[in-house]
Amino acid sequence: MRILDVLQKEAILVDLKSQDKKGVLEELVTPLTHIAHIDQEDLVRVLIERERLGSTGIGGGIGIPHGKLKGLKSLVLGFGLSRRGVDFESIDGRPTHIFFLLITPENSTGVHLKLLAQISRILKNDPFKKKLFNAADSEEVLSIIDEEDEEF
Amino acid sequence: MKILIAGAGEVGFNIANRLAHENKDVVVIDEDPEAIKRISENIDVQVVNGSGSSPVVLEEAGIKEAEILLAVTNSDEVNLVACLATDIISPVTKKLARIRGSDYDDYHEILLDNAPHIDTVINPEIEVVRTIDRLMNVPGAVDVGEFAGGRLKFVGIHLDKKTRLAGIRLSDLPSLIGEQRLLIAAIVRNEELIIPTGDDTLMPDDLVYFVCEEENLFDTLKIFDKHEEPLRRALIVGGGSIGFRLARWLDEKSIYTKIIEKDAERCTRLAEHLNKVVVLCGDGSDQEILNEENIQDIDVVITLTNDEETNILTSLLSKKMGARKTITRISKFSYFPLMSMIGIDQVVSPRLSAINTILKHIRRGRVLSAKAIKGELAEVVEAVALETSDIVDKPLKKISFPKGVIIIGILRADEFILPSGDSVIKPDDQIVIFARRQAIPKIEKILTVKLEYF
Repeated sequence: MRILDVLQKEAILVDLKSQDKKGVLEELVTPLTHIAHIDQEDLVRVLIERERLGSTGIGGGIGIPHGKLKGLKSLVLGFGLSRRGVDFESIDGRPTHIFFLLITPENSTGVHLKLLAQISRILKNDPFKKKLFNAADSEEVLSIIDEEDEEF
Repeated sequence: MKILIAGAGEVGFNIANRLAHENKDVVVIDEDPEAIKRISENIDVQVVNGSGSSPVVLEEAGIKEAEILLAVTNSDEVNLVACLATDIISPVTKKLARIRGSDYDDYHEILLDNAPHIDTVINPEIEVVRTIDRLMNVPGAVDVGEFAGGRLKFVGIHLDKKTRLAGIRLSDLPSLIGEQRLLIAAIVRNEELIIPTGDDTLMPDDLVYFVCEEENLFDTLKIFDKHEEPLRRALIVGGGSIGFRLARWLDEKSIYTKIIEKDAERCTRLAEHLNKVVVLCGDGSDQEILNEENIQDIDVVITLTNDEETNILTSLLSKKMGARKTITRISKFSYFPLMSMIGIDQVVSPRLSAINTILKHIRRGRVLSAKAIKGELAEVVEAVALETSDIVDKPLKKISFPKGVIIIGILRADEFILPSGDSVIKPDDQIVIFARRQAIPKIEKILTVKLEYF
């Protein structure tokens, strides 16, 4: 499996407006509610609850909010860019610009952890991160990820 | 984490003050400019002057970005409407509301499932009655907390002037008490909190906080010369809603109870609704009435009027006249430190109860309960140790705890562990932590999970 197998073009937002945690989660979730037929409020609650246990703002401008959702059929991935940056309570205290949002069914057997590892791995590559941050539209986001994406 | 607090009274003020020290983003709303002024002059938080029930004010205060709304104004109605407006404007925001009216007692769950979808209804009066019950049943206790569903007791007691434990080093305590295991979490001496080591000694007048399992409670109390006392007769002064709740509760437990209330109309209502409880119409601070009611034979006097000065006076008077134990309702937090000075040890406060409930919901990590100790000095937090957090799978001595923090209990399935340096916390264990207030943000950090946690 690759990142692009689960990341749909519709789930990519290249100009997030919100600057706070709750707002940006609501934004990121919106396209996914159509793709996966899930309730937006339920999903945001799950994500905020997970954030309360520990922020997924891992520093370096990256946030990977995630959670498990009851009744979800298969893993869903979202992507978002914030030009101005979001206060995501990240561990380095700096604003967060690049978001991957990962939602997995409740009984998922570990593929979500592999995907999380894959995302964290490619984001360690600084030139890649820079290109991603400057992507103008969802097409470009997909092609930039495609270059680094590998089977896992 | 952004938190909106509607209501700048004692509860709102206290919570805002705590959170401001913990670098959380707090906005306080209140209609009363004086209350707002008091907040902004003392605490570094944002303030908005307006009604918490107004959607416009809520929006202005930033409800859309808020993760939590605390509706703690003096009015149940304003609190309900604040939650309703929030439910419409920002449905995902978690809502905690203080609702005191007993008519709502049976509706807490309904308010969660239906609009305004209140996640937690806080009724400090129910909690206060529970606290009174615990204080009554633990001889000599100044403070009683329960964790792990009651299996773990956290008890504060005052050592007597002539205690045989005076001058005893804690490391010598085990040889004195035999097989029992006892963990002293903290000592308050001259209003100063000490987290003791083996080298510390006990002194007369110390307020000692210890931890023990429920079944060892009475044996442990014997170490401190506190012995089980019969509880047969109770006198409640003040027939307001808490007094009424307590009377009903004591009635059910077949404790012979009298209740004194000033207001004749209220007395009639109490008499109508209480079964075996004797309702007396009069002033509880009147020496003559207390004399007539044979105060010297009363096991416990609980003073619960709305006037705290009356409560203090009545408790002191009752004690002087021979009542064995008194429990006093206090509202102003500034009075707390004074109470033990004038000989009032057992104190309850609906506001403090509300704060404890709120703390549990705003702490990071999976917190099951939280309890403030001596008002401000420290906190006991009960939480689930989560996989990937820094606290699991290594011996406690290998974990770098911040200063002023100790683990005072570990509960694994049905096994209770009194921790030592070699104890290892496993994922999903319930742990009880005692922490100085300054260490709370670091405790939250220890409890938080890593990225891989789903």
